[in-house]
Amino acid sequence: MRSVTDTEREKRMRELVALVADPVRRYLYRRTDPATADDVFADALLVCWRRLDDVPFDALPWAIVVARQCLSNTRRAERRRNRLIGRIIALEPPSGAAADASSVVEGAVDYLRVTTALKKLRRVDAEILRLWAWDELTSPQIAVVLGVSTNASAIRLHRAKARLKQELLKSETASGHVHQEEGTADA
Amino acid sequence: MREQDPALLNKLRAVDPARRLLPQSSTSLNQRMEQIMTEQPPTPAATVPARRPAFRRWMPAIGLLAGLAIAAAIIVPLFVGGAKPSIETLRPPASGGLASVSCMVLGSATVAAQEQAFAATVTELRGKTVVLEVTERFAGVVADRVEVRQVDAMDFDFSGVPFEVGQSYLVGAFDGTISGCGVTGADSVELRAVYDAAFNR
Repeated sequence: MRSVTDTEREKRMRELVALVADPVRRYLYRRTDPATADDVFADALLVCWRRLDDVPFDALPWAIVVARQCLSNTRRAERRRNRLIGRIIALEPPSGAAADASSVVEGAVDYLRVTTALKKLRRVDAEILRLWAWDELTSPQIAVVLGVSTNASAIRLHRAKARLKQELLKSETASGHVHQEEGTADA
Repeated sequence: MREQDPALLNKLRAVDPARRLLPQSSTSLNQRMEQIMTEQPPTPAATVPARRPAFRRWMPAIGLLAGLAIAAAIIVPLFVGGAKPSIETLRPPASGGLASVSCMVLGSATVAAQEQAFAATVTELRGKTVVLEVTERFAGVVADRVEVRQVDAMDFDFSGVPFEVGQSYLVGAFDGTISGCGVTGADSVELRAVYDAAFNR
């Protein structure tokens, strides 16, 4: 028989999951393969359940940090496995993301241009842009995920946008596809 | 600084790998939730990531003292008798010379000066030894039982008669010797009044 406390915890957990499950799952799908994303998503939910009392009022950035840590753990374990396998067999070099993208959206020049520009950015700039555009986090939420101040987060986001625009402009200039940007004056 | 930047946002969202990802079905999510919430103990204390309690320097000392206290509680009674009553032996009043003039009036001050003062009942007479069961303590540390050698009535001045089994007495003692001269006697109203006055009862 469940106690009242257990029921309350379950209720809180369901509320948390309703709030963060989809964003966290998408966060993971954007950063790893679907199978790993599913596994890590389950791990992240488990951690949420275990640490339910630690969940802050704004739960989403916290849940994303949990998912990121779970993903890091999985990647570390995967690297260990790969190192072991690498001693046994010669592996084919992994196919690049750009190649995957081109196969998914064949002929989409803009797609390649943006993904290539993202790749040229520093990792921290690319990640802050992904958190902003893909994960739809605000500057304060990005600050929580990155572990920096809100002010620093806003400044980094601003600079990352500027660098991405610069990379996009360079690629458009190189391909002769320069056209007017919309609403980017203050970037 | 403006966070929204629609053109850039649209470009980035167009390359979002999860843009076509459908939300997980509620059935699948519920199954996963049930699995998590039933397999794992819901008590937070058991599941919070390990955070070792802060070490305090006094902890070993407290642990040691607790251990000693427990050991003492077990061992000491083995040596001091445990549930058995403690027994003390007192000497009888010195024979002779007690019926002096100073013994004629017993004051509370005399009683109050006793090292030991107690009420007791004679429970047993073993040969020449009287066994008194202490029922009340007025002064000093007194054992549960007091043994004293029985004296001849002629030598004994406090009642004129020896201790009798079943009789209650008020007893004063000094330096291990029962005081005579009226300090020790049968538990009467008069003598108890003196004891009460002496010990503010």
